[in-house]
Amino acid sequence: MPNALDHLLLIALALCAYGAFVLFACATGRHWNELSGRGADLPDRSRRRLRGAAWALVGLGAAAALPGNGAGFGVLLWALTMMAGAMAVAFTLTWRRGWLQPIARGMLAALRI
Amino acid sequence: MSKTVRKNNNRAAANKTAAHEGGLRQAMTWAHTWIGVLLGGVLMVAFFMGSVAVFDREIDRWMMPATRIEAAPPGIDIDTVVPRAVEALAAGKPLREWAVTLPEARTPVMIARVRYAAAGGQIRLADPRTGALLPEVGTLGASSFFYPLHYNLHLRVWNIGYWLVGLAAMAMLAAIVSGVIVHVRIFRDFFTFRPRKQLQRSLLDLHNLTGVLALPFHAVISFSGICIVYMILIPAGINALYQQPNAFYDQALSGYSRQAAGVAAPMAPLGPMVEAARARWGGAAPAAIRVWNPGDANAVVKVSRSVGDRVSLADDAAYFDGATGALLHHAPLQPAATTQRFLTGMHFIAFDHWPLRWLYFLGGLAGCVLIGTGQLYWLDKRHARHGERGVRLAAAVTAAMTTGLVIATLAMMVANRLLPMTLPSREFIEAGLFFLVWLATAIHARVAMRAGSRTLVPWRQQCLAIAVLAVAAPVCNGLTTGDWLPLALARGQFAVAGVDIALLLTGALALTTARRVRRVAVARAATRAATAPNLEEADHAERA
Repeated sequence: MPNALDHLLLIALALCAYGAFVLFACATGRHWNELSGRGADLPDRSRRRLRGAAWALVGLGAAAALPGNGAGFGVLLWALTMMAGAMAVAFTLTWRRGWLQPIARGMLAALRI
Repeated sequence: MSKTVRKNNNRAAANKTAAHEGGLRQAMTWAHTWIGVLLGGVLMVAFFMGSVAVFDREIDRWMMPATRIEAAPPGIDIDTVVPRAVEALAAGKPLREWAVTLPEARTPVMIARVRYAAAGGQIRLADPRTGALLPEVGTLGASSFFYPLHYNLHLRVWNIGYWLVGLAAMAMLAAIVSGVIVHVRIFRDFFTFRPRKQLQRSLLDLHNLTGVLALPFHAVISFSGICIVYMILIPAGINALYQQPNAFYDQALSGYSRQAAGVAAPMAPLGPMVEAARARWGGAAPAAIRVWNPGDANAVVKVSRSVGDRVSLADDAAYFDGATGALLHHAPLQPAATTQRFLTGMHFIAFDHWPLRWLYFLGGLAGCVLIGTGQLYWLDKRHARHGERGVRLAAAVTAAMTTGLVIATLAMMVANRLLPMTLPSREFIEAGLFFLVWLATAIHARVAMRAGSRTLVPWRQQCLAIAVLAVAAPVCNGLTTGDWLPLALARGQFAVAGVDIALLLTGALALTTARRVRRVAVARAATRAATAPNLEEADHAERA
């Protein structure tokens, strides 16, 4: 990790991982209400869009991980950062749900859901 | 109206598959439970010590203060420092073989090994700036104690340890598959952890959470672990085809060996050989030099490449004629060996990549949480069904395998700082203390339960013991070496400082856990009469 660009890409990868799993969490029945703050159930179309956007972020993460690290390190880094992102989202949901709500609502607004 | 009909149809179909799944799920529950009960302890040792070994070099620096030296400037004079270290270690005796591991980013020292022509051998650390041997370290450290515990439990007789850990790794793969089938709600509860619900619910949440989120890591790490020791676990092919194991390694890993000529010949300088090897590697750094039959006309010099910049453990070794310096052998690996080296490298993380190193550590700890919560869940369920008496022994063993393991590790680190350096066989006393303390935690857990007649008592006490030891270790480090945490940080001794910080965090976490256990115990005492329901059944009923 020698230069600034590599650090930026690493941060981008972490953000992609975290963002992707925030969206995946929104797409679950259990967490939709508590994150969106809306009473209504999540419509199937919106759920598909949420999951699509989440997978897009997972893919974007790969684009951030691969160039600076090469295929071997890149794939490992990408897969493990996704794991860490999912864990981070799960623990934020557990202990700091209040922090996650504005992030989730911002992302929902950006996706027009 | 049509919606209701469809719903009913769906329900009928769901019932049908549920009945079918019920048999499979029950069978898988049986397998999953017994794997956990029988091999959970071995898996816990493998995962915990594996996680510790992720930072083995850093812990080595902590446990071996004499090796906390500044990194050597780049381009050390190999022909001066390497022979000086080897000659000092040989002390005039003829050698059959010697090897020197050169310093690298995480290891500022050289490791010199010799095997005498007569019998026996020695290992010592040396200063790469001068080639002088460092004083005896008096400890096995993380790389020779915690790390071997990860893969062979220090049970080397008949390779029992390798077999046990190998069996546990295969069982882990089976437990991962059966776990996905057993825990029916893992996808619905994907991000759910409810720490304030009843204990069983919290445990199951955490078990499912770590199990699902780290599933790819756990599957790959277990599988690649098996791939490392394949020749111990499935030796038949090698035994049938090769008279000597060395012949297999030479062929499989593109090695080279030859008999001594019995004629003395002076050694050619090492520097040009290393340079020739580097040219063949496109400038990559050398990691180690190994010489067979030094001083013989048929001496062989092996120069291996550093694997710090690649995932694969392929060291791309070049073999030279020791007397002339001419290249004898350098060939790429065959595809099967390339694959094996890549899988091995993925498990070993010999590479320099700090973000990945931390992520491996996280994945390994997630494995510990997964195994620990699984065992605790089983214990608590059994407790609810069979009462206190049904679980005392199992609970004591589980406590020893979780908190006890951490206590033993920390106790060894504290002993490492307090035992006098002049003590004979100091390293074995340290290791012995580890096992004694470990045994003591099992006895303590069993006795504490009898005294308090509560299964939660030993957990709280052992968490407090972890907290005390985890704070004592950095303090002892500061007192005995002067490298107090802030000073170490200021001097750039990040390995030592990092271990201190990790220890303090461990202590804080243990203290929080002790408090939480106490709270649960109090809540339990209040609602003792209420029997805990079976959550798996409840989950399944809800789904059906």
